[in-house]
Amino acid sequence: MDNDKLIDMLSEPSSRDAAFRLLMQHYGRRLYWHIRRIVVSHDDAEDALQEAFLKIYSSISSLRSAEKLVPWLYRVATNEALRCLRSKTRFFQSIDDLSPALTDKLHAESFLDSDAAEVRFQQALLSLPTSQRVAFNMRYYDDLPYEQIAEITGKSVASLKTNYHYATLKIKDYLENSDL
Amino acid sequence: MNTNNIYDNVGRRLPFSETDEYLDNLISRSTEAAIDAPRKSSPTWYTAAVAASLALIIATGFYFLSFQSPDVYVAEADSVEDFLYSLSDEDVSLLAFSDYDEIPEY
Repeated sequence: MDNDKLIDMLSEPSSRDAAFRLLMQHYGRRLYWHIRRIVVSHDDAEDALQEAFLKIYSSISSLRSAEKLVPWLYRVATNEALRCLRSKTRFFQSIDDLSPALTDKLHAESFLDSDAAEVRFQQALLSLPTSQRVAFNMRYYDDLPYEQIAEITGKSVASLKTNYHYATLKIKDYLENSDL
Repeated sequence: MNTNNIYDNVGRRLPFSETDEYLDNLISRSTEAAIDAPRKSSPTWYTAAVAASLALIIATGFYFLSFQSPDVYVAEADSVEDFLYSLSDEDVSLLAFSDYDEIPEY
């Protein structure tokens, strides 16, 4: 898909709707899974995805650079996913404290035939701090370059690389030291 | 426990079961909802704009009215008796009788 052409179409009111449909056909699934990996529950992912689409549609005509398109889409989706998590916290509770609740959801929503190793790996990811988990997901699952992840998260490339390294160590440690 | 062999095969799979068809349908619905949302929400904006305009008109009216009746300030500043004492006979008669015709009949 030619993002430059898409940006041109999105800036024109006459072609905006068609371009938005094309955009979502292309990136919609990626955004869904990105959100789902953060919020875990399908219902929450659906709500956050819907909100993200609304925001993307209402603001996308002001986007001028094709290079910024993917980071921007991910940023909107990430923000909506984190907002969804924040809505589930109580006073003074951090979203990192939601890890046990998210682990419960993971078990509830994992399909019966799912591999135990897949579930365990997700559990290990849920043991990471949320910001580290989000950055790890974008690198590991979506193959986004560190420069784009830096644009999305507002962190430096160096700190993201360090974070990724520590995340892999923590995951390995979790898998080795927790009971099956 | 040696986890290398087990987790080498996990790759990027997720333990969730949503199919591509289901997701395509969800994305299509969400896309259309996003496109339709501004059209559906326009009456809300219109209502809000009208309400805001009315509030502004009422507030402006109260602001100007507050400068037109010095007697009210006297009444607020002193006792009611002092206020009544300061009125002329004509003012008192207006206070006593002017509203009787305006009382609505139920």
